[in-house]
Amino acid sequence: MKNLMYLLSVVLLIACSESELDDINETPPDLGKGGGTYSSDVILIIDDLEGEKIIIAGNAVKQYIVSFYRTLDDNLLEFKSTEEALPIIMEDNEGNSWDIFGYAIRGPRKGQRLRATQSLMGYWFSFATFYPGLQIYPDAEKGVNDGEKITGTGNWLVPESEVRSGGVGRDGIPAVSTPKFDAAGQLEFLADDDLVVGFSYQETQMAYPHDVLDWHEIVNDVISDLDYAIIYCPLTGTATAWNRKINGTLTSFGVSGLLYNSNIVPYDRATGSNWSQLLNTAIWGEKKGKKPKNHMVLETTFSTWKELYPTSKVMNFSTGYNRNYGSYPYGDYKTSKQFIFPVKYEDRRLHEKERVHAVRVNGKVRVYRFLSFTGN
Amino acid sequence: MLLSFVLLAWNNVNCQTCCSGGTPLLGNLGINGIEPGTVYFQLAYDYNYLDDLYAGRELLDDNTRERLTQTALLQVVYPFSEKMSVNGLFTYVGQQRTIFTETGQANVTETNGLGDAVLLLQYSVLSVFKRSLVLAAGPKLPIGKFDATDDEFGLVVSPDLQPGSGSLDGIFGASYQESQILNITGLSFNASASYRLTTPAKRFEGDIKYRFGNESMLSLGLQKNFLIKKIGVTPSVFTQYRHTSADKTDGLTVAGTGGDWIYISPGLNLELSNNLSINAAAELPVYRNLKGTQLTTSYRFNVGLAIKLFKN
Repeated sequence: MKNLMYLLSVVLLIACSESELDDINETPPDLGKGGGTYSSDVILIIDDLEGEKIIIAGNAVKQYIVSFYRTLDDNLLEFKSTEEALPIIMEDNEGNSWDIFGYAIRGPRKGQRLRATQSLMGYWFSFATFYPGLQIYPDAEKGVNDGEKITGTGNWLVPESEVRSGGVGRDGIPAVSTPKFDAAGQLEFLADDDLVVGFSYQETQMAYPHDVLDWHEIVNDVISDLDYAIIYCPLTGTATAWNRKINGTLTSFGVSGLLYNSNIVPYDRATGSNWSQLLNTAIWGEKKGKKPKNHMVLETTFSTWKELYPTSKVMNFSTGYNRNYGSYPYGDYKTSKQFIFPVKYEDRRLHEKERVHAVRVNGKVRVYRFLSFTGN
Repeated sequence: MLLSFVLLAWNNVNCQTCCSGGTPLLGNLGINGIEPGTVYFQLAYDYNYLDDLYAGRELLDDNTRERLTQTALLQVVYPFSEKMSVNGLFTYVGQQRTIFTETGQANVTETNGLGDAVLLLQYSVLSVFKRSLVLAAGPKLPIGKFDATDDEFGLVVSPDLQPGSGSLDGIFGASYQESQILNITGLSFNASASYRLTTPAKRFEGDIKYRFGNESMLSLGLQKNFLIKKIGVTPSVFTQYRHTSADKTDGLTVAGTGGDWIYISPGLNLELSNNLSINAAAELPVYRNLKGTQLTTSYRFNVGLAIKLFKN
């Protein structure tokens, strides 16, 4: 018996001592802490992309980047940063003060709104694979795979063989359709550096924490007369807000369980069509080729959001589902260089998971890094 | 009887969770005592129902999904000598995943096909009046289907829904039995341990290498033989400990895979004649500590029919 127990112990010892060391990866830069060396003031970048004049405003410490067209009513506005408190981020040559969502808060254009660019925050690799050859501000150099085009196959607008099953099945990740909210200033379940996806419509601001979106990916919501869906892909780190009225028909979005280029493929429940978040287009089904109407979102930290809109509403964990919201469900994915699903094109100029702001104009994309918004 | 008992014991060990994936192969593996001159066949059916969503040690209140794995197993043990035999296990696996949406709809995905197979070389280290010890080692052969697709889009489903694992793995194990313990006639103690060393499998035309976590199991239990109206009746109770490390995809840890499980497994074996027996066992989880959030086994049972053929 003693020999037996020894033998079993050896077998178990070997089994349980098996190395589970994760791969050691270089991690993406984290400028959010700033180390006291970075400015917390808004930094403005005036840029020209595909003949369009745009302004990009951001701050690395406060972890936000937003971008707008500078032209409003055929007038080209000249912007400068302001020392006013958030949410005001800039002033123009006409005497207007503009907030972070592009609303004129003060001045002759009060109530007007700048046109937001088609832009979103996300991991570098996701833009590199969807928009091969894209530029990284301020470099003019084009990346690898420049000029590559997507050709659809089968019934898809994209190569069918590159659409993957994410493993969870349709609605295996349940979208939330009855979100509940708490006042931002009263929340205790979010840490200051937790990321939220902010949304603004009329006088109302709402925020959707990554802590919830990581588990549900889609929230179907409504403010006043606006029906919209917050769509977030944990694998590409990209958030968008789509109008839920398509050709006058109200729908809601669900998680199809499919991925294209490692990016979420929502489906609309009215027709069952599958959409690509990053292509901003329906890629399969009745709505194939249709583009959703986008609304601007602001991704930033909870502390910055509270500073921006302390009385706003923040989605809480009462989703109708029981999930472990405090924990990130994808392990070390957001800092690792690895992917869970393959992507078509890779561009290693930046760390794969560096969060960047991508602006798309006339089919061309330029990426802006937090490094450009440190004030140094 | 020894043969049936050992198989029964090993049949009770769980090996399937939603996210840890694979087929219940190692859990159904029996490292059998060697009976010279006897060829052993077992045909079994395994039912594994997964409806418990766990985050670490916490059972979450969730009714959005369930999984069912049903497996037909054929095991053949062929002795070469008094000390050596080859043990083959072949499977056919059916997987079903049901997702319940907020609108009350049930989305069902089903796959089925040939599962992987295991070939073990078994060596009897010890075989005396009361005690026996068998060591075993061999490959798990990736003959199972690993490219099963869904019905809706024809896309390859995730590894945990595939009938096979796609990888060539190594299996190592030992099984010990001591009979007439405590000087009680017919009362036996059994202990067994096994280890599955995995290798990566290629997914998506080789673009991604997926590796199931290595797996180890320990089983300890008691059985008692009775003779009732010329039928050998053997109730048993076992406890099993199972550990799996997390799966890896291209070196990246797959969240929601791996963990520790402890089960209690009651079983019953009926030896109807010298060469025919039937067995049944259930498996009830009593402790789970899982990495991330996982759908895991709520209960499992299996039934088997064992036949011995005598070579001479």
